[in-house]
Amino acid sequence: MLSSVLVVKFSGMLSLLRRNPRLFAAFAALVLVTFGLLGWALVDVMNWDHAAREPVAGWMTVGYVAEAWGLDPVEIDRIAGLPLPVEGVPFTLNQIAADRGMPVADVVKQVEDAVAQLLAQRELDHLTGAP
Amino acid sequence: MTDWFLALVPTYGLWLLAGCTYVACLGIPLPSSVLMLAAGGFVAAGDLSLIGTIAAAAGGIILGDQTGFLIGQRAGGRILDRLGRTGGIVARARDLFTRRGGVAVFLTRWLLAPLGPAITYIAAAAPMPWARFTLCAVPGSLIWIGLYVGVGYSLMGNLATASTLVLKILGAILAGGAAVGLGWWLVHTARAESANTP
Repeated sequence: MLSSVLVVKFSGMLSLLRRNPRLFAAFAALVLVTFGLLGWALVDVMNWDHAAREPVAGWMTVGYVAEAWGLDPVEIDRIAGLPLPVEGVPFTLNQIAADRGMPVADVVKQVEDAVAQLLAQRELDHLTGAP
Repeated sequence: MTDWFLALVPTYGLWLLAGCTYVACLGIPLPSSVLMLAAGGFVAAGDLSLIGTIAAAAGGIILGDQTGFLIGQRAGGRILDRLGRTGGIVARARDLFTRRGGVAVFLTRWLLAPLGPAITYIAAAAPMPWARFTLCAVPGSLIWIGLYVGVGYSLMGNLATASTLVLKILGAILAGGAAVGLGWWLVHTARAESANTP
């Protein structure tokens, strides 16, 4: 009974395919695009930890930079010689530069250097098995 | 301009999010999706609160949609009335939108977000009942906020890549939806033809 129903549906589908090949091609293309995009998104998510981070910019806070690189914001502040964070008052690097009367590029460079130093330290700890 | 906007997020935080999403709902182009991704990142960094961010964005969007709907009711109806006198197409379109526009309103809040403001004005001018518009718009807007803040929160560190990732997810949903619709139509047609075959 079930097999006869399936045969009827399959034959109906085949005849529909012969009369509307473009619709079936469109359906196949849509399925391919769907799975292609999902796979692409999945690859992005799985590789996120190793993906390139955007360069440090004036609109970021030290907390944002630290979170993006998986570092301790207090350590970045300490190495870069920046004011320690105040709870509930996030400062962007632009604001820190303005408060200190420094060019934003200099503050960005200090933070970049601190991030590079902490990442190098982390890599070294990883290689030597230090906690 | 985007960097300038982003720098305002930690400082003016929730008010900026609310204002930006409000204005974007009226059709004024602002980088609100990038702003939402960045806000998600600032939430992850502890610079903004999650509940406050969602509440501010939702408040801005809901108020923006309501304002757009009000403008559409006041101005759009008159324009469509004038167009309607010249033929039946506008009347049929209005009728169709009044009856079935809910899906369009829902989908253009998140899946086809760039069309959102235009659909708001059209819905109001149709006229779509206000309650139905609101019932369809609010869940769609919450999906949009959840998607962008969620991706910004979970995958921070590269706004451009995160933005592309959201577009891939939305593209997959759009293509998948179209595939399901077309597949359903093909199966339905094949079944109907099989039933009619002696």
